[in-house]
Amino acid sequence: MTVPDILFAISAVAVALLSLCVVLARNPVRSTLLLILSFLPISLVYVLMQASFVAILQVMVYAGAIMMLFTFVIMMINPAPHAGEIPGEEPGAEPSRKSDVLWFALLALLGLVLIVPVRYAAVRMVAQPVTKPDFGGVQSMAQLIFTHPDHNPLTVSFELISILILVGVIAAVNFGRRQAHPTSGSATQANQLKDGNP
Amino acid sequence: MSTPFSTPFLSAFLPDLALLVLALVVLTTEIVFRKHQARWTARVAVAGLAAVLILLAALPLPSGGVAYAGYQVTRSVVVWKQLFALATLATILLSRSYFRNGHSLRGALANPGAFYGLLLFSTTGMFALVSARDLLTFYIGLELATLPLYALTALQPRNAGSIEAGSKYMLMGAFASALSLFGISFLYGAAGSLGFDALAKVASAQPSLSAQPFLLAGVLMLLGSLGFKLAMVPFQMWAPDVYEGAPTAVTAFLSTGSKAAAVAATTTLFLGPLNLPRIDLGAIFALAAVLSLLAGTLGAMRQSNLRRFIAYSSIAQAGYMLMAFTGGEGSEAAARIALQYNLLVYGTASFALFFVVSLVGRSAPETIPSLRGLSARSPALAALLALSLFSLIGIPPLAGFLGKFLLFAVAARNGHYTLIFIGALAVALSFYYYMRLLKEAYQPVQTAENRGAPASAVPLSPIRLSLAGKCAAALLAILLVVLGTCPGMLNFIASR
Repeated sequence: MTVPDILFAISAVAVALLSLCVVLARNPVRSTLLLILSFLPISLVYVLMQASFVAILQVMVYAGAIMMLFTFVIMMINPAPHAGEIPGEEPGAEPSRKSDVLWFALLALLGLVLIVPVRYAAVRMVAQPVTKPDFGGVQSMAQLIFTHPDHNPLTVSFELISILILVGVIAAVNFGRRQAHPTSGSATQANQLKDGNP
Repeated sequence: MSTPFSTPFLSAFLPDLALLVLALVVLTTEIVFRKHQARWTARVAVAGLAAVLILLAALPLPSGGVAYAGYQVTRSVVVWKQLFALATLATILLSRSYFRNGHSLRGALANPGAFYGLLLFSTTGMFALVSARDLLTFYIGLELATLPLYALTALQPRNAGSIEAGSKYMLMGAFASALSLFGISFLYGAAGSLGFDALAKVASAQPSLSAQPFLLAGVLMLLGSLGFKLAMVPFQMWAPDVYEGAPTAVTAFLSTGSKAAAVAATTTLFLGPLNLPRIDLGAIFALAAVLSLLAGTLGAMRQSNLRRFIAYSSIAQAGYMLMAFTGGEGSEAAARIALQYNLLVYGTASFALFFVVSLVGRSAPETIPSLRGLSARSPALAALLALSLFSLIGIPPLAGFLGKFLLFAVAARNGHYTLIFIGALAVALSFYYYMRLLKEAYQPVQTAENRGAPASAVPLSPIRLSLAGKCAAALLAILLVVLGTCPGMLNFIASR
């Protein structure tokens, strides 16, 4: 076992545990903070895969910018004292730890069972070490997207992603805006401007 | 690879670009028109889609197709795109009345810009999906085709059922997405590239299955994720709930356009680069087909809600279409043509059914008993319903018969006779559940006097069609007959 192997093992376990905590946390703010934490070991995995540019983006964009927005939104919409409790559950009831532990054990067992075939496949697969000096850097990323000599450049997919994000924005604005009466046109737009756009 | 902005490049990509621009324009039409926003938005969308259809049909294409980056356009891709554009056009025409008050018991739709915009973005995604030349474009096309549909399903925020359906659909879709990404990363590991060419090379070169476990794992995961979009057993659970909760026009699009996109995606991959000669995927497809036929047929028998009924019927139809993937080597062209023809026919019959459902649903819940007395209320509508149901069953000379025949013929090439027998059995059983609708429609209504029971809640006022409605009904009926009797006409259109 080499140092990268050990680092990978640590970060993989950390990602799995932290992601589990994100889901199990009752308080949304705590859940968000745990999500930010879980991004850090993921970026470590990227570094181990020699994708340093993606690793930096992961920390800067996700942990830095997007999760800040998450926290803002949660703090804005959730001032109630019982915030984060799942509706329908009794407010004071202690969530059953027993079933959580059971689920965790079940999932862990599933993970252990999955290790065998993945390990088997990984051993049989011919490893192709990365030899290019600039792999994972900004320049090679740009080449991959726009002018790759060997592969198809990813220009079209890159542009399509922007449309995908636009669709996400439209859907979010649509759910976020207050429902105006369908016939009153100008009121709809006023609401859209007020509620939809930050 | 062609150079950007040369003539063949433009003639191949202009329809896609036009559709994208149209989606953006439709999104903003709401702001330009202060009055009758829904009507104007629909008009712009219909005019634009007609233009896209004309571009698709009229622009010349070099015989080998045109490719740029991860995108390619060939003859069969153009046929798929025409199918998607037609489904979207029909959905828009069907949805127009739902923006007016009093045209549905579920309440009127709002936000026409978002509704039509999302619909067109979904179509753009389908265009990208069939044009993909690498797995990344394929995946993003798949996402772009389905993401707007989650939002469209949940577009009636006052209707709890719509929100529930939307969340269920999104959660299931997210799971399917994760599955396909997992599969794609395995395939990337096996091939070392995302391109379809490299993938085809690796897939055809492997001497045995155990030499490439990653390839098999990737293929199965991708098949599972496409199974969700197809509503194929065992990934069909979401379909009845989502079909029931979504606005009617969206349900129509889910069962026609979205289904066509899923079939096209499966065709792109599994009759293309992942057509593995040494791994018998045909057996897996045959098993999925049998299970889908069983689940759809048995499920449809028990329904009284029309939308759930249509959902189960569409699961069974997915089962028939899966039979086209069992043909083995050398059947790719026949399978593709059978699927495209079948989707056109199924789409036409479905829209005829939804047309009747939308008119009945104005004053009554969308259930099978609401159809009672339809022949007295509007003989023409009842006749259209009969035509559509006969076509869905596959009774000659209607189009559905030829569609099923082509699918069975593809399965027969590889000797899947048990599968064909089960398919024929499912057709026989489908008689029963489709005829239930027709029986209700042609049954005279029992009045309070001769039954001794309280009068039924179904109002018996005659259904009056607008001029546009009459034209649509006539067009659908003519298509159902003509597609079945003169399928050669399609050949003429496709081989221009």
